[in-house]
Amino acid sequence: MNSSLLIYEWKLLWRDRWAALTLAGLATLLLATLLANAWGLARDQADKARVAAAERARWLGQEAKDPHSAAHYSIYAFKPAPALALLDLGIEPFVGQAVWLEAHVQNDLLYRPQADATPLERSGLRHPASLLIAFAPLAAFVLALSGVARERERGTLRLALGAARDPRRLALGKCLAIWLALLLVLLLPLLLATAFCTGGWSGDTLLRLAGWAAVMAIYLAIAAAAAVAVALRARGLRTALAALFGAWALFTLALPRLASSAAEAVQPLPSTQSVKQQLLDEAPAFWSAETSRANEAAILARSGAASREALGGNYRGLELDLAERHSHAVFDRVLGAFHDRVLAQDAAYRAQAWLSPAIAANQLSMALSGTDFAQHRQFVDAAEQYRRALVNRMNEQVAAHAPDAAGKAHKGDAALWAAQPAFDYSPPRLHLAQLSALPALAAWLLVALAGLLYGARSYRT
Amino acid sequence: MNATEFILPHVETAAGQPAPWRALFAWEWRCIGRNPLLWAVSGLVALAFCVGAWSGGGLQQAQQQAQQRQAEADAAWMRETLARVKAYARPAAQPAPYWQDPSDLAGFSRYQLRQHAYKPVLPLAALAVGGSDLAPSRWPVKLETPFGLEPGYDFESPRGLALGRFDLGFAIVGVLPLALIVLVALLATLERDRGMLRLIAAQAIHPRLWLGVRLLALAAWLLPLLALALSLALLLGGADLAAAWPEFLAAQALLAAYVLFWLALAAVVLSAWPGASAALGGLLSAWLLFALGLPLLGKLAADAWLPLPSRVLYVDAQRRIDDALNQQRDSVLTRAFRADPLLAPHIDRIAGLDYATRMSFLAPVREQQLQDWPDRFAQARAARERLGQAAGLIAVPLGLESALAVLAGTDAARQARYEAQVRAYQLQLRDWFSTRIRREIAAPTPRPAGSYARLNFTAHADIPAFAPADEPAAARVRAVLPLLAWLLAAAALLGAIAGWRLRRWPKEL
Repeated sequence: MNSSLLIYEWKLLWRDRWAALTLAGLATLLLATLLANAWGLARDQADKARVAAAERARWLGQEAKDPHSAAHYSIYAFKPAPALALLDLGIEPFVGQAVWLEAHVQNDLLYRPQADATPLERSGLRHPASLLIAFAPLAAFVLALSGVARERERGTLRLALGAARDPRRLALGKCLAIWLALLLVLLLPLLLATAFCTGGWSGDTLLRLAGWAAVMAIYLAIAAAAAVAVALRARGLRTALAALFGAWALFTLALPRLASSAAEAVQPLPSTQSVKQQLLDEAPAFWSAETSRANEAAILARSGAASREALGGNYRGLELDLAERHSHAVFDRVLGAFHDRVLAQDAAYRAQAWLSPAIAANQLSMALSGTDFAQHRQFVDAAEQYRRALVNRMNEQVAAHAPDAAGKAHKGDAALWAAQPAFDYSPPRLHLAQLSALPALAAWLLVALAGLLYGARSYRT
Repeated sequence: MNATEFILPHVETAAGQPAPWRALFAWEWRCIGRNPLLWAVSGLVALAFCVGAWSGGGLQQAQQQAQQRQAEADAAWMRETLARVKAYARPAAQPAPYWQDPSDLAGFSRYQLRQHAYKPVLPLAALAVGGSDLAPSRWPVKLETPFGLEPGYDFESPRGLALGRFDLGFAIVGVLPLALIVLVALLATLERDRGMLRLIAAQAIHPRLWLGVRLLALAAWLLPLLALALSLALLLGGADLAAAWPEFLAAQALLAAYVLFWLALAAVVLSAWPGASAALGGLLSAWLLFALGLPLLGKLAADAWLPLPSRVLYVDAQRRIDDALNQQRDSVLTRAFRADPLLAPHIDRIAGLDYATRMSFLAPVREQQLQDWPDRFAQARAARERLGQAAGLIAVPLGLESALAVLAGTDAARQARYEAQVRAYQLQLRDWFSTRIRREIAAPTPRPAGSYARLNFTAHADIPAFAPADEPAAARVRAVLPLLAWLLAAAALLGAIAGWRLRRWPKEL
């Protein structure tokens, strides 16, 4: 590739005032959403950290009480914002941010940020990744129409391609110029602003950011190559216009939503009502007297004792422990299967990345930003493991201490509360992220480049 | 010049005889009807409508089925409860723990009561998903839940929520304008792009007539085709058009007004006689402004100037108030007993009250201490709603989306009305049980000798049920009439602007 050709094409691009304005407008929107996200996430994160510290202090400062009551009191856990949520909010606005880790129940994460949103806020919910994926191709198409289709309409493209030793170089030069414009005006400022807004960089975050930038660079390359290829192959400006506009609307606006609907149809989720009913039927928080009798029989059979009194310790603690561990198995089976179905539905959506590069980019962006359901589930599971450890510890204390001679139950104290470590969640590392849409994105790049080279060659013939 | 002449001036034939505009209209109508682009684009729009209605209708049907299953489960639970009350009435060596005894008034009210409230799905729900994919349509009603509404929700795929559902509302609000933009940009600029406009301008034909008739012919094809597509899509989505005919007619009117609005806007853009690329660019910019720019700006403004109270801090406030209330529980109960003539003579019984009975007194006090929070949420939300309504008049797609949700019964206002009903129902239930619990404290029902059950509560069949009340269809239609009028007025204004700009052919073509 001749660098002077690239520089020439680059200069030509900026002669079109509308193209430059389009890029500048989109870049402004990207930066505005990034800064707004960074501000909102930092504010929420500060609230979460402050209340999480207050929760820990409350747990440690409880008065002496029945350990099982302490398990009911328990703590709230708050989900920290994923590392690159400011670039891609992903599912974060639609999943709960706080969970009460109380005895007997695996509670849902509550308080979804979008739960209180008005239609205006929902329509205006954007983040840099969604804007880039939906509208950067449009900017690429505007640049391609300006740089290729108009030249073709005027007849200057025919002259240029006719005179070139290899027309593919000329086409590549145009594509590269558009791609560089997209990278420098849209992507680079985003990365710099992200670096500025993000504190406490870790190696994992850096890798994620590098991966995210690479995915977006590939996506922009696909848009640039496809735009130039279509502009070269189209019979005229109007045809190029219709083809590019139609492709944009289809691939970036319609197909991602349609693919999501298709994934829901192929891998439907059980209704929340049926899942909750099953949990209530199989592991109710307040069980019946009949279940109590069955619990007693099971405990006696397990220990070989003839009666409660022969068991030693505190029968109530043993029953609480039995019921709790039974509920864990039910939660693993029912909720675990439900979460598996959500992941399977996500996989069905991801499989459609071969239909549109926007689907591939969307999936990869969420995975790299840590804002997909797979990484959300890691938090859900970590919080649940913590809850089980806390509740089991408290129930074991109840079981280990029989009431005293006066019939007074044992009370846990500060030493017991301190024995329970604080909830400390580490987000999953990058190697656990689901990046299986990468081959589809790479394939789209190859197809676009092949189309570009074919377009250039066939134009000459 | 009268209004008709302003919009459609006479054509002058070569012989100087006026030719009726109808002839040109009929010619344009036939030409557009023969253009494959019209049928391709209309077909895709109709397909989008159908897919959208199927997707949205599926969600609504699933919610309806969940409500039915819940009602059946609650009824089965009540049957089981009544059977247990009967069975527990037998003699036993030891009484049943109060929290396991369905005949214990306080125990039942706290640990075993299973009542639900529902927001019914309306017959035209397939028209727009609105907020129904996020907001619950089924609420468990418990006596202690602060302010009546459990914060739980029906889990929908968060990926799907983040992407947005391809529902009929999206097809109308988002996809249809793009289809119109393509049609107008390609069908109304052909002569300009081929250099024929100069020849046409040299004829005795007014530019307003030339462009106006073409757009009218396009509208004459699109309006019935889209009305047909909407009807078909709604039927496929499971809508009951006969049961919701006022809303259906209003939806058709909104759709037609929306199409006219975009065609009028297109007329303004086309009045500059652009080529296809400039027309497409101009119209797409308008679409981006309405569908992306204004909502984005509105959200940024709402976040900056109308912040919602933090839910995380609300959790903190609940926990602090719970702790404080736990410390003061005896004094709170003493105050409640003293203030109640029925209970005042029985203050000595406070120490013997079970946890469920105590909570029946503490839950309302807890709400009083938290009251500031829902008030702040409601104020912030109301301010944001007002901003959204104002934005909906400028960002027309947003306004239409909200109006379609109103007709479908999936809008935020109906949701808020139901949430208020749920709260009223909770207070009704609370009062129902509280009255009995207070009486029971004052004059405890004697425990049957040797009985396993407490048997101080057997009126399970009398527990009040949730009775939803909805606004009539006419109210929903009335709610969207301002937007309909606004769309038509905006279309008329834009049409007038285009007509004024088209008063003569441009000097340079």
